[in-house]
Amino acid sequence: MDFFAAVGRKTAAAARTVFGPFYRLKKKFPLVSYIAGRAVTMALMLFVLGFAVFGLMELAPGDIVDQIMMRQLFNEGRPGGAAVNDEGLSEEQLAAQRKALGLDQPFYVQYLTWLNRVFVHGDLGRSLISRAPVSFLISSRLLNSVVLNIISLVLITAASFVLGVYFSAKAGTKLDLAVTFFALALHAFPGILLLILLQLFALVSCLFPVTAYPPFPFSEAPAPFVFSYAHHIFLPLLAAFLGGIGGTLRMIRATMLDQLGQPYITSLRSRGIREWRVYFHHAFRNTLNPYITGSANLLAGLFSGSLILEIIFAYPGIGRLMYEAVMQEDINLVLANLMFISALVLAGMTLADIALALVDPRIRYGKE
Amino acid sequence: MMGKFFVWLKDRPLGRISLALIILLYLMMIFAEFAAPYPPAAAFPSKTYHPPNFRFNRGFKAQEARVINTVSWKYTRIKDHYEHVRFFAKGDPYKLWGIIPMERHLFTTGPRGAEDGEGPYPVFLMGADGLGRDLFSRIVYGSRISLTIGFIATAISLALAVLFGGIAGYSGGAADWGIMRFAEFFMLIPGLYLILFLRSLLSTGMDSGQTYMMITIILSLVGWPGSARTVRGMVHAIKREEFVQNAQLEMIPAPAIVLSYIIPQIASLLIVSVALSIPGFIMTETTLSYLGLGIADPAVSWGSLIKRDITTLANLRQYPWLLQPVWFLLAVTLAFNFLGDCLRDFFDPYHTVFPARAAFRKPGRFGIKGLFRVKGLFRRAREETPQTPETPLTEEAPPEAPPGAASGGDALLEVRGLHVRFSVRGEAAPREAVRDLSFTVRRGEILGIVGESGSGKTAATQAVPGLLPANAGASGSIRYEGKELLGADGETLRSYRGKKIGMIFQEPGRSYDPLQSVGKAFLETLRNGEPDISAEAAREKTRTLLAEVGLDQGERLSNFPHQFSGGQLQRIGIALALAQGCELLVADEPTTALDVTIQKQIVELLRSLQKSRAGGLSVIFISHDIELVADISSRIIVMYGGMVMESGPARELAASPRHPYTRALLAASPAPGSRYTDGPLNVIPAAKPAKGGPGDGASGCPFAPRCPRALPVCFTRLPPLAGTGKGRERSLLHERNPLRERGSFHEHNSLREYSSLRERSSLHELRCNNAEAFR
Repeated sequence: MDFFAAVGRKTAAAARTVFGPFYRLKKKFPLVSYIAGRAVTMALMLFVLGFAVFGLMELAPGDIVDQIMMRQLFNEGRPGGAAVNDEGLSEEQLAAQRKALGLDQPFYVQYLTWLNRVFVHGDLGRSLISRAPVSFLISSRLLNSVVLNIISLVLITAASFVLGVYFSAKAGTKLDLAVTFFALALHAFPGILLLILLQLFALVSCLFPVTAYPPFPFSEAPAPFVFSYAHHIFLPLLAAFLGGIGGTLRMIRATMLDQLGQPYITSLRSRGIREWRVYFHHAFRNTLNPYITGSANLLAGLFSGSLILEIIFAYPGIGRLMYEAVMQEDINLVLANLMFISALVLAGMTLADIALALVDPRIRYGKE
Repeated sequence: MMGKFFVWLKDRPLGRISLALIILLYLMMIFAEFAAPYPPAAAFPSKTYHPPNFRFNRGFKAQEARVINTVSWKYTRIKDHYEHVRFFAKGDPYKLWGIIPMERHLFTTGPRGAEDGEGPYPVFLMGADGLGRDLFSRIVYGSRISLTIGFIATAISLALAVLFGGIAGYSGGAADWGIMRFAEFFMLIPGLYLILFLRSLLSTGMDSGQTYMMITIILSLVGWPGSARTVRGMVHAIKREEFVQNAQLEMIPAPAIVLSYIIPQIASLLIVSVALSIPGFIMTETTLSYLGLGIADPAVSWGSLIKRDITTLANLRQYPWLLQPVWFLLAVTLAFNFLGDCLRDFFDPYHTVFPARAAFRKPGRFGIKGLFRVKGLFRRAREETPQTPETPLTEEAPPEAPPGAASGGDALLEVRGLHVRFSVRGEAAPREAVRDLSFTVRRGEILGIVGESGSGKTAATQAVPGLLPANAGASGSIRYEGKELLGADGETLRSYRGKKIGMIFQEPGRSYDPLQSVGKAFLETLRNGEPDISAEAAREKTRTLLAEVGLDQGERLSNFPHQFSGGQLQRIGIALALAQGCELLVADEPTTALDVTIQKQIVELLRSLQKSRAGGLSVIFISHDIELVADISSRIIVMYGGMVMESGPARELAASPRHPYTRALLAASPAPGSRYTDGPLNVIPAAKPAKGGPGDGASGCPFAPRCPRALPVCFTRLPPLAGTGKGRERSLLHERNPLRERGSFHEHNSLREYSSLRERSSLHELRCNNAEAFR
């Protein structure tokens, strides 16, 4: 028992010397250390995520390796490559190929090699199908997806805040009941069906194009591009907007009502503070916090949703890239894509956490 | 539980329709072979893209049609060529569930011929697809995959969630941390990307059975973390409940405790989450199939139907009936969501909003109308008629005027015949929280109001500056310096709040905007009184105010409420209430949430403020601690069930309580120096009636069910409030031996007698006619 106690004391002392400066820093600059802490956590999570992804690939039935090999051989256009089939490759050849690709090693070694390649050499590898560098493929598509999702996030946020706050004040009226019901229906409406129906509408009405992206690049004619983009993106954006606003509106309305029922609101009113101040300076500001926390999940949901959108409306985004990669079993591209999206969402979550700390002193000072 | 839910569904038509639809679709799925007229793969090549032909023409008929163009498959209907559609008739033979050989179908025109074109003309309820297959039959068979996949995936993910969430919540510590971090990884990646990745790991060369299993497993893997988090939170909370700890002491193994003690507690939550997650899973399967990564021919699911028939949009233009699976999916998804929403409301009624009742709403106090009126934007808003106080507001003393409380003169606040009602959803009659309450606060006095939780103390005082919640309404008369406050518009009321009537509250920790620093709160409050005050002057004033309440921590103005202790916060609360120079301070259980030493300090502070404040501060001190109230106040009102039970000078009332409730309250508080060995503490028996609560229409004395000396008549008639000046008590009692003749006193003491008594009586009032009898 004594031994353990001694060890415990020693560890505690060691911890103090190691983490001491950190704690002092935390006391001095709570916000900076909070942000630093979140960033470190984010990097750690990404690292572990990659580990898990490589582990899953190892766990999966072995034919992935064979598929990669097949692709590799097929695409390198070696003499006789087209004729290669399962029997055509000897075990030695397979083993040699595995060795060349580093696939004979355990997954964590593969992972570390991959990390080394990505971070030290800045090389995400090449697509097994198109032979184009993965980093080029992703960067050419990423901006499109981010623009689309940011626009819908902003629209959803703005609209649901306005409506949510308005109807929280009207809670219980007939109009409010109608709107909350409508919001529930929108929330429940499956995104994919909405997209299909909207595309059908575009086809039947001929008012909107059935694809979501202008047929010419931005650099060719910037101004017409913007108009054309707005025209093309309208329906998909509408779908994303309608899909997102139902749940968000309900959440904001509920949070607002929840805040308005808090004792501090009565306390403010008892001091004669004006109603609009109580509403906008207090209840509303407190409603922001849960929303910021939830917006990271909303972002993840939007990316999921935009995957279908990009496929149905032929929008050149990262979601469609992922889909094509999966369909073509281009594991390099799938891997890079997955990690990229996760990093993006994780970055969004971290940003949300930081925003929350900026807004809410309780989090900044490490309480709750 | 189920029965209750169905009763509850009665006035929820949407929930009822949803439930009926779900049951119908699942019945159709179970009896798919019977419900569908043809097998899913049965093709009529000559009837490719045949339009729907189910008609009603003197009986149900299938109208024949002829192809006029075999390229675009245009059809023209043939007049008067009908095939009879018979219900429960013999059609294609099949085996129900692969076992029971049967021939009867829900509806059919008869068995198919051996060759295409032979036999009776087929019925296409929803048209035919590109291979001449009956779309309705395919939808019916497709539901077998689409509808079950949601259930099975939900079941698996729920089992995983209960398992992992249960372990994490119950054991806590490292297991909790590990499992929760693990779950977070699943939530990190956007769901569809994760599904695509997992799908890409598995080979595509699978038959439909394997694909079905694979999709189910992937869906459950992606779906469990969210529910696991919720389960974990609930288990974690319930773990500390006594019944669980008892079970632990009885050495019941942990898994058994979780399964048989904790899970039943969260069953309602699980039911709701099942109802809400099924449509999500159904749609994910549809999405995967639509993307070509799920169910493919020859198996049919709604997703694969959509993929087959909708990927070529041009098809849909010509053959719009191919859109049918979309409507089915939509119906199922919406139905499950509406049902889930209904279930949530059913299990968790607190989340539903009270529908405001216009009759009980006061104008311009709360809500957007008041909000916009302040800004002058909503001028034409429908004015709700201000509530007319029940008592006529004439100059003569209101009829309920308590004796001895001369109106006018030094009276600061006069409350007469106040009723406060709360409208509760699903109840026709509003609940009465305060019934016929009258009291007067004089300048410079401390009035104590005592009562248990729910006795209406808070509702009564919140009604004074018009701070009742939206679902409450008040009637009667509340006069501040002779001006009627009840029914006054929002702006008038606001001019009283803070400036004349200040309030402090029960929970200092929750009475501040957590995002506002204390300095800002003072600035906001001071600006409310003097809009032009400079920040510097406000800071100076804040320091003075804080010093007045015994806080010389002016340098902490930039701190946030969570950085102060409860006692400090209550002092800040008092300072904020006084900031605009209020004359009346309503202290609503200001000491309940504080420990005893701090309690004492706060009470002392209030007492000294009452004396030191210029012009004399009047205080209404609310508490359930009768000793405390007797200590600080000059007069006391004892409330129960929204009514005054007894009122009188503090010392007299505490020394010689008359009402059984007052006595019980005094007996229930331990006297200083008493020992726990002296005997059990005299608690009031908690025999609240099942219907409970005041204002349920019961005409008797609200305290009667708990009164140790209640007479039968106490349950039926309400004893009036009457003065009990010295020498008059006896007249209240009936002369004969009261204990032997219970219930007879009303015969001897007519109401007339009481009212005459009331006029003559002194300050002390009492609501119990037989109180004196038990001395």
